[in-house]
This record gives sequence, structure tokens and C-alpha cells, in this order.
Amino acid sequence: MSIVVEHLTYYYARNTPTEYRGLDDVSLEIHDGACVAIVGVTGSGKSTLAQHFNGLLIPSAGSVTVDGVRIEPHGISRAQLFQLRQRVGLLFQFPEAQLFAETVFEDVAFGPQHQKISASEVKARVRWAMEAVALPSDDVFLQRSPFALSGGQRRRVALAGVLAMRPRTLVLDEPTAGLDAEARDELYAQLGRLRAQEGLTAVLISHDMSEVAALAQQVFVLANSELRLVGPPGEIFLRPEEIEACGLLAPPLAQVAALAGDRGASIPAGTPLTPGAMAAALVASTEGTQGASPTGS
Amino acid sequence: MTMTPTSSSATPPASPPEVDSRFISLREVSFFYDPASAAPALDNISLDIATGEFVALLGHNGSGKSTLAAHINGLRQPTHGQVLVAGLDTRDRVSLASIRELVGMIFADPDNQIIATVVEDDVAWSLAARGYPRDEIARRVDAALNAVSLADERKRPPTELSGGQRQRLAIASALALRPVCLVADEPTSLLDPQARRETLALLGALRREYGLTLVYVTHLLEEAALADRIVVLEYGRIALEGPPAMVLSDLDRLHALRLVVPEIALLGARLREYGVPVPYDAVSPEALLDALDVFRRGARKETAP
Repeated sequence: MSIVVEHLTYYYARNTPTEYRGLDDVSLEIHDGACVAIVGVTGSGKSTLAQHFNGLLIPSAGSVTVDGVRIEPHGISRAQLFQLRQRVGLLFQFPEAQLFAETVFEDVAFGPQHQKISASEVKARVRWAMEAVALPSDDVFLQRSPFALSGGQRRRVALAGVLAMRPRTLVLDEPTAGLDAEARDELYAQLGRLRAQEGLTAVLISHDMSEVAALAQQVFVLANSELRLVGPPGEIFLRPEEIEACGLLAPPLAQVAALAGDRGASIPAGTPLTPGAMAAALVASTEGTQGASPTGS
Repeated sequence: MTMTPTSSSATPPASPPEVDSRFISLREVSFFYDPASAAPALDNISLDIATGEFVALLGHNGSGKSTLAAHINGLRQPTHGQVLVAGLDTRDRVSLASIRELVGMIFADPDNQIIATVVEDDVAWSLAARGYPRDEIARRVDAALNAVSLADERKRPPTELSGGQRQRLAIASALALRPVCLVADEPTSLLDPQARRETLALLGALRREYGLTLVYVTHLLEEAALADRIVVLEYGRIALEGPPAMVLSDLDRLHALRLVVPEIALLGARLREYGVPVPYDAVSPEALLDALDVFRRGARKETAP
């Protein structure tokens, strides 16, 4: 079990007039190597929850356990925190805004340089991370200023900086916001490769329900600081009323499946939310068209 | 100096008297942000928009769609070529005031155009600035707030409104001048899904009720598919132009233009491979399932004795 959250409650500005409950008695489990998504409208508590995974926030009540390291309201040592931050990499929203160094190398190397490893190991990590995000790892590129790169490249440099720490778990907060379709697909592909090769656990925070449906095995829906729905995307997105009650819209293909059900053409549960699988299921649901198959071309 | 408004009916905006097929006319328009640059933001664009038409300007970031939109009410003037609105040239300083009454604009972030501290004052502001008489201002503010369903919020500060309500306030303030045309530059991009749907529905209703011409800038094909005509921009040029059914008939081309093809259009393409007659412009679940119903009834007939 990679992450276990038990009865987690978090208050912002505790014991002040502006006290606000950011999370209310949330419990969940994320398995090692899984790809899960946390979704919800702005202010629902998604980022608050994710910031507990590497100890940026400490619970007001309850606990968060990451790879055996348990974080409780009054209990985490500096050593544990150090350990935790090596295991969990957090990629913030618009991470390119946090690039600061004069060269790409310095930016990506910043994390590992603080990990008590040799200079040659730092270099090897930087090259590996650059290759993982499909950017050149030659000296010429590494000596460029990050500010001379395109927006998509800058975001990948920021991701490389997180990966160079060799985390076991990657938390991605709106990783594709503001990227065009091509840069977005490229980032998905890199994430897929990393998960296959490294067995990374990925926690995706997203507003994009189609992205969530395509990538996540399990979805946690937050609303009003509470955990409202949990399940695989092919299940929970087929309950549009419950999704809308949380202020969200199910992804378009799930809306089709739900509406088809209302019109008496039911789609079998567990049908993948992809155009190909959905088309086959819709055609199969029409009576009197046995053995229908695509005509190709 | 005060201007004398000609119309005094209580509903905004006045319907245009007749269809003018070249109500907005861009003629060989080029625009350079940097005169020294070799790359124009707009490159020799010619485009006519008729009164009452709903045109979507579609393109990815940097394609020139917002620059083009800003030319329609004279926020930008062409480096070369000419933009005419109802026959008035946007480069003519004297015409600009009239052009800005004819063409209202709204943007992604309504906070950039909300200036007053009370909702109704914001709607009244542009009328007061133009010297409209008090009773006319009151009539128009009422009508504009009713048109966007904000009448109950008229005494509140705009900062207390939701994002969707603030966008409706920006629309009301634009409507108060009774424009013939509304240019909306990505007005839903900062809104949540429900406010997004409401804003689109409101713009559609205003168009039907008042015959408003709508120029809608977006990078989303789902939204562009609601228009009469889609104009796809790339590198400051018109890359593709036509009704949604035509534009959506070539998904490879849209992909090459770096546009995100709606998932329902992708599903429609798969269903067409099975012989289901899904129209190219079906981008809503309803439209797609309607086509499937037609197919199912056809299949039943075939198998009937």
C-alpha cells in the first residue's frame, strides 16, 4: 500500500477568525503502482489533500501514511520528512513558473544535489530525467537558460527536476493545463512510459474528466472538503447525477453511455470509455443488427 | 456634447432592419504587433460576416484569433488593409464611437471590464459616459439585467458574484449599448462546466431574441460547432472555413491544425464505420444518439417480416 489516509481533517488558519475546514474526515487508500485521480471543483480540497502526501501540510486530525511513514498532527521528525520528500515528488500547477536557475542543468540538479549523493551520480540522474521527459540531455542543451525554451519544454524541465529525485510516487497537479493537444499527448506518453518502466505510483489532480477517464484506474471525487465518490472511471462517470451534484460534468463518452441507457440501449458496465469500445457497444445494443462490424476504410 | 439616442424601446438591443451580408468586412487585413518583425499576427485576411450570423473563430494559442476579434470593434487597427463595420472604417477616429456602439466585446476574464462597485452602476456606466438621459439609462439597465437574469443582484457589489454571474454582468454592460454585434473572446475559458453551459445558452438566446450577430472566439471545437460558420485560423491566416459539418468532416486536418477533436466527433467517426449515419457536426450526446435511433429503426424495418 503506497498511501493510506485515515480520517484526515485539515483546518486552514486554525483557531483564528478565518478558520476554514479544507478537508473533513477523508479516508482512502492508494495502491503501490496505481494511477489514481483526485477530482473536484475549485476549492473542493483536491490540492489540500495532495499536499499532505509529501508532508507540505500536516493533518489537523487523523493520519496519512506514505510508504510506511506515518504523519499525524504532532508527529513527524525532520528525518522522516526528508525521507518522505524523496519518495513523493510533487509537480505543482504551472510548475514552469518555479524554474529559477540560470541553466537547465542547475534547475534539474537542484533536488539531487541536496540528497547527499556524488557529483557523478547527480549528473547521471539529470541525464536520466531529461531522457525520461524526452528532452535532449547533451551539454549544449543542459547549459541553455530554461527561460529560452518553449512553454511545453519548460514544463518538461520542471517535471525532470522532480523525477531526478527518483521518487516512488508522483503527484501531478493539473499537469496539462494550458498545454496544446500535442504537448498534452506527449506528456501522457511520458507518464505511461515512466509508470511501466519504474512502477511509479501516480496521483493526478485534474479538472479534465476525459483525461481522468483515459489515465486513472481509480477516481476520488471531492466536494465541499469531503470525499463523496470513489470508484473506477467507467463506473462513477456513468452516474451523471451524482457527478453533477459535485459540480462536475462526466466526460462526453460517459454522458453518451448514460444517456444511451436512459433511451433503452444499455452499455455493459465496464465498457472502456474510448471511442472504439463505445462505438462497438452502441452498435451491439441496437437490436436486429447481429454480427455488425466496421466496414473499414 | 451629448449624443441623442434614437431608439427608446425597452428591450436591448434593437433588431437590425435588414440582413447586411457584409455588415463586418475585413479586406486584405494584415497586422504586425512589432513593425520590425517579419511574422504578422494577421496575414492578408479577407472575411465578411452578415448581420445575425454566428461565426466562430477557432484556433490554437497564437493563431491570431483574438487579434482578429480585436479588429472588429477597432481595439486594434490593421497595419495593412481595411476593416469596415456597417460601412464605417475602424481607422477613422470619428467612426470609432459609432462602431463601439454597434459592436460590444466580452473577454475571458470579466473582471477586466467590470469597473463599478455596484452591479447596476456597472451596466449604466457606458450609457452615462455617453450622456444618455436618466430615464433612458434606467430603462436600458433594467432590460439588460433582465436579459441576463441578474435583476435580483442589481444592488450587490460585483465582487460578491460568482464567476458565471460576473461574466453575465459583463454581457449586460455590453448589451446596454444595444449593439448589433457581440464579439466574445473565449468567454467560458475561466468558468466551471455549469457556468460554461449557462453562458453559451445565454448567448444563443440573445441571438435568437434580438437577432444579435455573434463572433465567438474559442479553441474548443465543441463550442465552435454551435456556430453557423467556423473560421479556423493558423499563423494569422484562414486555414479552413465552412459550416461545422464541413469543418468536422476532416478529422485528420483538424489534428494537423493542432485542434482537439471532440471525443463525441471521434465516436461519431467510429459509428460511421459501422454504417450508422452520424452527421459530422454531431458533437453532443443527444445528436449522436438521435442518429443511432434512426439507424436502429432502419435495422428493425429490415428484419421485420
